[in-house]
Amino acid sequence: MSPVFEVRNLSRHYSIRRGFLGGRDVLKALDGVSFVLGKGQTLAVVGESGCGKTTLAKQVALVDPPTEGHLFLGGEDVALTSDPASPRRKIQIVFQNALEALSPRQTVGASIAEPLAINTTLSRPERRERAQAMMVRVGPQPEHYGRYPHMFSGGQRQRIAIARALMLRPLVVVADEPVSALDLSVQAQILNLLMDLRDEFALSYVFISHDLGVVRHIADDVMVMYAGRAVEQGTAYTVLSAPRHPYTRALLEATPRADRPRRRERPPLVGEVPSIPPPGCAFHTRCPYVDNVCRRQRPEPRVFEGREAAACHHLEKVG
Amino acid sequence: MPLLDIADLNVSFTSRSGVFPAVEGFSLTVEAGEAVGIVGESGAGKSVAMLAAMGLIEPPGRVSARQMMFNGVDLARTEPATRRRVIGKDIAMVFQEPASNLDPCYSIGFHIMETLRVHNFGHRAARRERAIEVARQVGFPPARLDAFPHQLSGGMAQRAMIAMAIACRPKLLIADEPTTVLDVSVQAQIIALLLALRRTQGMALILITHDMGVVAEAVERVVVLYAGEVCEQADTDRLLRAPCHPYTHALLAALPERNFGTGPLPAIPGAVPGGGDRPEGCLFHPRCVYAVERCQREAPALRPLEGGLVRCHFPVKNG
Ligand SMILES: Nc1ncnc2c1ncn2[C@@H]1O[C@H](COP(=O)(O)OP(=O)(O)O)[C@@H](O)[C@H]1O
Ligand SMILES: Nc1ncnc2c1ncn2[C@@H]1O[C@H](COP(=O)(O)OP(=O)(O)O)[C@@H](O)[C@H]1O
Ligand SMILES: [Mg+2]
Ligand SMILES: [Mg+2]
Repeated sequence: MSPVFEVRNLSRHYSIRRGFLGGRDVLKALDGVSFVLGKGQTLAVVGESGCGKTTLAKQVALVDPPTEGHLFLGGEDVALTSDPASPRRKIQIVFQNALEALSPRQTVGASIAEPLAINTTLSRPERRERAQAMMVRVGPQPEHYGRYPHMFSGGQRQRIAIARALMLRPLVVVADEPVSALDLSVQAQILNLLMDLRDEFALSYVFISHDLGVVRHIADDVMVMYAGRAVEQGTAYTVLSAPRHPYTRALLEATPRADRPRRRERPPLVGEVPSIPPPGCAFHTRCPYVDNVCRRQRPEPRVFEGREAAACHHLEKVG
Repeated sequence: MPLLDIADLNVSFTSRSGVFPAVEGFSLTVEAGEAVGIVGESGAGKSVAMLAAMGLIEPPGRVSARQMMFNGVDLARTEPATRRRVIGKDIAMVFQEPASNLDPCYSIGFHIMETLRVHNFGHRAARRERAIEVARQVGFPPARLDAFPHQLSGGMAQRAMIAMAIACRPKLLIADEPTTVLDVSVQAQIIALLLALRRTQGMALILITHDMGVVAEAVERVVVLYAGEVCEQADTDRLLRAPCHPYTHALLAALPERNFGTGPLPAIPGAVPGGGDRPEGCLFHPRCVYAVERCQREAPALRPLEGGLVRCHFPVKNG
């Protein structure tokens, strides 16, 4: 299967103020991430908040230029192109909160048709017709063309954002926690819609989520991120059924399960993601397998037991 | 005698389209030391029901109840002074959004000490000591008691809220979606903390959530709310294994973790009715796959079934 999209060694560094006395630190929000996405495939990106998922989404969707790295779309590197408008049409993004992404003063129909107004020479009636056709497929009902975003429920707003993202027939859709804010019954509707659209429009997804149940259902591949880096990467089945990285394990262990509840007073992960990672392995401060090597030396990603990459000194031990 | 015994609680709000019942005929008993979950999708009335029990619904919201007995005192009838002595001390609540319930101008330490002062907890020195003690207990570093709310992560702000709530050693803690915006890792830490508090202090817990996994891991009994009404109540194990109400059944069936493979999720069509579009008959009938003519006409009563309660003419038969 030929890849539609390839991301190689992508990084985004921010320069942040170091407290009151000034000076600056480099925050590596994204640090050398790579993946390949085939046509119609879904890559899920998981990890706790602050681990770099939204930063990755923004780089991949060309919303914000990367500090370094390559984004190959149809064989061409679009990462540092001087004219991002044309590749940007092929990579669209859907955010968690559609209300923030949609303009409150614009009718939802106008929002959905807007990408055509910016990128094509279609006439206004043609744009309207295409937007309404997309609404028939994705929702909300085309009769609601003239309504405003606040008049819709969270699920309907997410449909509006998805409809808008598909207007330019993208190859890749980056969805940043698209169902996290939705209720359970609506979440299932939107996930089904995303899976149908993927097949119908031959879309490839970068699907960001912190819900491993959702990921298991929708993804072909999974990338687990910690402190800006991929710590474990492979097919969803391999990574989620037999996690090898201690962080992946802990995340799975922490996810509450309706069918296999555990009552415990000792949580699997203590503390939170550090924004400036410690030296050595970034995860060593929270890892049950930590030893002196972990404190000194950063583990490089390596191929391990059927997964593309895992970055841990003790993969053999975790088994 | 149960610790809390709410009977026939009604809460309504007035909107442009008339009087809108947010909670109708809500009854709940909680024994000393027991943990009960209230689940339902957003807008179901979970928060409103518990805010009403705490006496926190402001006019023009209207509250009525046959009784709201807490520890032998009827909170629905008692004079405000008695009520103030109980609320915040013997019943404490952790609110849905920690950020908006902490005063940005005061430190966390001040917040905790102020709660203690309002409820006449010892002298200043004793209050200080108690603040440090509860901070330790909830895993909030005492050294950070000087911090202001905006300087805290979501997980730390939630710990601070819990520290305030348990400072006066309540007999009942009501936690309103305490983990909804948190990562699974921090969520597991907070649930572990609540379980530990129950064990060490014999505290009863009402946990509001929409996450069935959280329910499974934290409570023994569950009340399911739909559009302001209790539609089912049962022991957690029975409810998750063999739900009787079609709504509970459909919600659980839509869980990604219960769907193997990549087929569509069995989503519930439609959406929860809002203020203006409450259907006749059973509130769930427009979305119910089992609905027949009688369901459109006649509202079912809550009645005993399989050790719990269910509001349905034709409960689901399991197994
Ligand atoms: N514009 C920015 N300036 C400085 N730091 C940023 C900026 N955007 C994100 N960060 C930091 O980068 C890290 C990753 O953030 P983000 O990608 O939003 O994580 P996630 O989406 O996984 O929660 C965090 O530590 C965050 O504080
Ligand atoms: N102060 C208020 N004024 C008017 N309507 C309200 C008020 N508070 C809540 N509601 C409405 O009552 C219903 C139940 O709300 P709530 O209890 O917050 O739901 P949830 O189950 O999500 O906690 C919702 O439809 C909400 O819009
Ligand atoms: Mg994010
Ligand atoms: Mg609520």
